[in-house]
Amino acid sequence: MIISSIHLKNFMPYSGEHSLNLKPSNSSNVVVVFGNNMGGKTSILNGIRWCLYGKAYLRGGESKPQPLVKLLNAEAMRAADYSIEARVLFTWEGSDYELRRSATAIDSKIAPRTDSDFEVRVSLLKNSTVLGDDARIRTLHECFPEAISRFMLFDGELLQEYEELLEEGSHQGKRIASAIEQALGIPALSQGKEEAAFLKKEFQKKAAKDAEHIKGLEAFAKEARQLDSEIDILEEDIEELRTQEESAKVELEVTDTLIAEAEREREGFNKIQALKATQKALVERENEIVVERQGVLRDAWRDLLMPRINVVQQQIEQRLMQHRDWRIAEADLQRRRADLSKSLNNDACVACGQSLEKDSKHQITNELARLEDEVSRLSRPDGDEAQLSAQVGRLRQVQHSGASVKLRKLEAEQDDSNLRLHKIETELADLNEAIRDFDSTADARNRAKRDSLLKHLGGLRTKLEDAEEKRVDKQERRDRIGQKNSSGIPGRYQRMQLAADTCEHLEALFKRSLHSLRDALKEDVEKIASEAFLAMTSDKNYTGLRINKQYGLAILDDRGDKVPLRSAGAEQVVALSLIMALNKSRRAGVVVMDTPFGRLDTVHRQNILETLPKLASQVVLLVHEGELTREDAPKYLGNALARSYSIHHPNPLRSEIRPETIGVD
Amino acid sequence: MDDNSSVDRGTVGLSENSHAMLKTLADEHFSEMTHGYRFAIALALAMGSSGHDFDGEKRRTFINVGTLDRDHALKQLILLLYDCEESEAYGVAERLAEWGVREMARRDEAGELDFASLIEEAGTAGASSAEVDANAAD
Repeated sequence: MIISSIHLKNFMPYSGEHSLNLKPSNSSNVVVVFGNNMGGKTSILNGIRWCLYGKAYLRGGESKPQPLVKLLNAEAMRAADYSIEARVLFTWEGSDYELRRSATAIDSKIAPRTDSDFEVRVSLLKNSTVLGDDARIRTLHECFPEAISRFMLFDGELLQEYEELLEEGSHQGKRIASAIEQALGIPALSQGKEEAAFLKKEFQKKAAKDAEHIKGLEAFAKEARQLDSEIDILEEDIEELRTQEESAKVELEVTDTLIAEAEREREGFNKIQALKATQKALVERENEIVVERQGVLRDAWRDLLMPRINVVQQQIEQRLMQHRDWRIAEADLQRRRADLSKSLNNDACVACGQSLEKDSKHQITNELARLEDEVSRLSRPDGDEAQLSAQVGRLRQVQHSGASVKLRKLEAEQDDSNLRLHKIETELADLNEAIRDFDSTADARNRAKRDSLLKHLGGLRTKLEDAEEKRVDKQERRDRIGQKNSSGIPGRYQRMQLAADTCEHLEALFKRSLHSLRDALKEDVEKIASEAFLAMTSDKNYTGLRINKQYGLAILDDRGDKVPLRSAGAEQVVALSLIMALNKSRRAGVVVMDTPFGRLDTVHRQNILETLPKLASQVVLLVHEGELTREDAPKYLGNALARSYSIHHPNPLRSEIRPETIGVD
Repeated sequence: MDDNSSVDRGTVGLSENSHAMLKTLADEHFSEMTHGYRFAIALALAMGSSGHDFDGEKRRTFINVGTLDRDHALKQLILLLYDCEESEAYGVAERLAEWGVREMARRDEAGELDFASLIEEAGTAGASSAEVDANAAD
């Protein structure tokens, strides 16, 4: 089966019509679509999923299928074009098919709000002829069984689904394992076993009916009829119990999903409370910062003047120094002048008291005249010293407040606070959006419902085991009495009994075959997956993979022991190995991979790209340039690269798919 | 109000335009307009402005000098840094405030009103202007 093309109209970010030609040519079976994050890669995967199964999911594991209104392109919505369409054209067993799914607003003039506002239509054309509903459903189930869609539509972000396989006994793991068995064709054998068992019972019933008319077998006929009737009743009970169990399991799964969602929403509430408390504290601090800043600015005028004050203060202090120097010099001159005058007046030296000689008197007179001259030349500095001292005193009182440093610190704190507040606002908006639909009453109801369902399931399991045990006992007894009374009695009775015995052998054969096939397929899957894994992994310490009951694959080290811890990248390689093995073990088909290399390094990426073309008959890669560049795609894929596309995102409301020039086309 | 008056005045004024500018500045940065007015005077002094650009401006009374300069610290600094007569100090303050308010408003409008930078800038401008004064005095 090959998908020829995909066509999307007003689907998610794709406003108007967009198409992808995916048809492989010769050995070129890989199509690459490049797109940035949030650009619309997953929407292409969702487009295919919605067209095939009527479901589209947001990223994030167990999300609910998205309502139709969320699938409608926002630009189209604004333009009042309320119609979505997805078409998948494919070929299968020599016929051309076109699957079309559309959703159109019932009232074209009113913007739809819920799914009930849309009319959904699905049609499947086989060689241009419309198939009836039954034929459509049957064909799609054969071509694209939903249970195994995870192996066809691979989302690199949802690897945990594959990791669940390693947890033997997990409900999700069992479901995936069952899907894998479906992909491998095991149901054909199990159906054969069931049909043989059914036929055996039919023949046994007919034989018992014939025995009623055979002399000597009346008692056997009576007992057989009684046992057949009891077995029928038990089987009906078992069937009913299984139906109830399956329905309760589905209901439990839905309830668990709702509870998990509510749990996330509840965590969202707690986070909102914590964020609001931080927001409040930040806003309060911002108000304090405003007040503190105003306080700093109130006194900052002095800081503005400090440099000039310092200069002026230095100038005045210099002048005061000049005044002091003048006073000292003047006092010294006056003292010396007084001493000399006294010596002349007393005719004796002031210092030693000796009489003055004539020459000495002359020298003193000259010195006195020089000093008089010096005193007369010694000019008093400008300004009043007391006034200058007062000015310096006043200037010294002006204190620097450190305003500049304080302002810088407060502004830095405010910037940081603004940034944090902005982040909190964005986070709060996202969280509020996420918890918008939270209903605590519904959550409590769901929790009570889960408890009740678990109890109910426990009861059903006990009843089922009991009924199964009784049925096996009765069937064994029925087989025994049938065999005991089968020989030596000719005619139709014997033929019926022989046919029943043959069916019993067939049932046993199917049972053994089923085990053998399962084991053989597991061996195959393990072998192919190991080969693929070894071709893709760059770690030489790994020697292969080992499969478990649920088709979970464990990595083996060089001693053949399971590697207990594995990296996210290793998980991805293991998941891809499983997909390759499943595709090779059954008829090879199409694989669409969204962000498959997100967790991988360059070497693994290269190994996988070189192995990919052998993975399936058709591979579509939805990648961002961080995973695979436009230059590397042809380098690693070579001739296998049929063509490539790129997703452009001209505005937040629309994305466009454009063909690229790389590829063999 | 005549800013050249030699009578020691009891109030200081501000033009209508500058008053509006100061109000806007105070709303955003100061707790009171008086703080902004005082900052404006200091800014002009620090930047070495004479404030004479606005000599002809008609002003209205802004505040009592007793409120603006309770301890006369501002007046003393104007006398020391501006070198004017004592009776002219508040007239000078008024002119300087006019210049300072407009300078802050100009920067605010251009999105460049950064008080910390202004203080650092005033440090450089003030020091060089004081040096010029000192050289001139020599």
